[in-house]
Amino acid sequence: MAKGKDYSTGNGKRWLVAVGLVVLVAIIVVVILLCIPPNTYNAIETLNRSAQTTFLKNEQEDADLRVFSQKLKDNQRLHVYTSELDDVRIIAESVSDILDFYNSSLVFASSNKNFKKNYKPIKNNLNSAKSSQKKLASILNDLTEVAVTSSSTTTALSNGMIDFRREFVKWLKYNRSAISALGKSYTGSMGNILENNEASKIIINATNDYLDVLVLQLEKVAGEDKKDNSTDDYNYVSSSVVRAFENFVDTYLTNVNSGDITSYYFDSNVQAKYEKTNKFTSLYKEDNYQKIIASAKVSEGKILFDYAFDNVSDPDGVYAQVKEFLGGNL
Amino acid sequence: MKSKKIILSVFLALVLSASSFMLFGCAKKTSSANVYKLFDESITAIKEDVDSPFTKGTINYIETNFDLQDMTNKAGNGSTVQLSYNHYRTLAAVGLNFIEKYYPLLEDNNIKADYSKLESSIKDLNKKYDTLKEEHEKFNSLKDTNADYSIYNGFFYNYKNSAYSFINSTFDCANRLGKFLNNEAKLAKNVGSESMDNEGLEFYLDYNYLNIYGDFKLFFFDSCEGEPLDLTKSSSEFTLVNLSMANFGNVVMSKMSAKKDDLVNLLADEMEYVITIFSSLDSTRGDARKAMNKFSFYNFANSYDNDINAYKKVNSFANVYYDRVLNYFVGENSAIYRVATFLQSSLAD
Repeated sequence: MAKGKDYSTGNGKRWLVAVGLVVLVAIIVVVILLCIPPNTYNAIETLNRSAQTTFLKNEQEDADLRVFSQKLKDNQRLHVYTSELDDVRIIAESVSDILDFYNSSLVFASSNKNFKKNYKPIKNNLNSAKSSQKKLASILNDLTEVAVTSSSTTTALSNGMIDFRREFVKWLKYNRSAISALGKSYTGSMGNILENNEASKIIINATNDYLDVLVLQLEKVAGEDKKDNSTDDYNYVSSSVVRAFENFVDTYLTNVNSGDITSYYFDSNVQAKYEKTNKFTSLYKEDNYQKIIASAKVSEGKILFDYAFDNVSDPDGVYAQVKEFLGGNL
Repeated sequence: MKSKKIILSVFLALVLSASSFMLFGCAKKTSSANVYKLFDESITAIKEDVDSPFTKGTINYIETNFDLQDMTNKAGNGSTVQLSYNHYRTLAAVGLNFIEKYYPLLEDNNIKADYSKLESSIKDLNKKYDTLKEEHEKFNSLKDTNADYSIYNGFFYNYKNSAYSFINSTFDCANRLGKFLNNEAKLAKNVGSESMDNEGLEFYLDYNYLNIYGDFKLFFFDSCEGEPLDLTKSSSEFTLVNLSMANFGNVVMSKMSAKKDDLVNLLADEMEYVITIFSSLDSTRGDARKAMNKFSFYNFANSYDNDINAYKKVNSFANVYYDRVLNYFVGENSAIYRVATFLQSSLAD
């Protein structure tokens, strides 16, 4: 008969028990961490803070941008950048309006199921946008000093503009991702049918489309575009889209109480409008929204969209309706 | 041994169940007739009592047998402001009108339901009425004397507080009655269908109006703590919501009274829309009520000098709640205004 293997007792066994306990505690801690639902209130608080302190809402940031913008305007070789900086201001204000819209809605969400699902992208992207905002503020602060002290002002401002633009695109991308996640949270979380209806769904999607187009366009020129008037390498083309974006946000997301979202159930014309817009989506797919947005042109103060489908007739006027919708009505 | 234990346990369980059933059966049950009698006695007393603080009148376009008297305090020495508590009068009239109109339906109904909540709410209303009457008598005895304004206002303070409690009880009672008639008696079950009748539609509308005035009550009684705020400012939030309540009385309640026998003819073609706007209002009501619970207009006026940024330091969502409350009550795009405007045009000839 084989002799059983001798196991050590005493200290060896105690070690085994101790290691077992440590492993058990570690497993319990991991399980608890995995099972704890995300504290959605933190995301709402982060959103609230972000909405109230978006880029350029701070007086110092705003003043620094004005100084920087003026310096560019005064500089013969660099004044071409001023309209781009005007657009920066418009984009920042519109992003702020969008965050305000979600902030004033999501605090009343009747279900936080979708909020939980999107908790991380909301919180992380808003926090990253905040860090990016600090960098933007720091760049602006440096540039206002450079404008006063540097002997080679033109080169310094020109390089500063490149740095600023690169960071601004990052800031916009973070906000775009946060806003996209906020849109997903909104849909299905609002028990209030005055807010959760066809109009709000379409408006939220189109807002994301606008941000996607802007990010795409600005990304293309970030870091590469012209440094001064000595080259023709300046491909910034987003001004019309920015104007259309501003108009769209002002029409549909600012003062929501007077817009289509809350009047949807009270106004059959508004319902008909979104029925047509929906029909467009089913006929031509939603990615065409972005093509239409990218074709924005401002002509005599009006926003027009050049984009036309080849060989597409529009008997029901759905195509025209979408163009009208995207242009806002202000 | 084991089987004995089982038999004993079963026997004990049977005894316990039987005694519970017997006790339950012997308990005094509230019947529809009893509750009707209580309502009838109470409403008749409030209406006809010689010492009642109520009289027949019209307040904010609402005709009523329950116009609460003497709801104005006296201007203080050196003060030009005399506070009128007309919002108390309006709310009392709406709540009591509803009870007066619908309690008769409790008589001779065969609905088997739990009437205990209705019974307790009317009993509570009675208690509050006794206090109200008592405080009014004290205040009334002083009213025509040359009592110093501070003494006068001291008595008014007690009278006003008793009115505050009474109106809260009135709404509680009216809401319970409305809920009973809606859920148990199913008075509005045919609304929207081809068999809709005038009585059902009238109740459906009245019950929705009661809820709307319940929203106003929450604003005035909870968020403003019952006090008229900043009356010297024509655009104060209190004044704006007060005007909204008066507007609702004017364009809806007064028209409704005049057209109550013809509602089906007036609204039949638009019932789908009527139901939609009331369910829209229902769903947005939750947000407005949450905002009113989170935002004190009383503190906003008295502790923060109407400065929203100061309020935001203690409540980071203060501006969001503030906007939500006003968006619900005030302005042409507010939910209440939209409902009122639609009903105004529908109830017109």
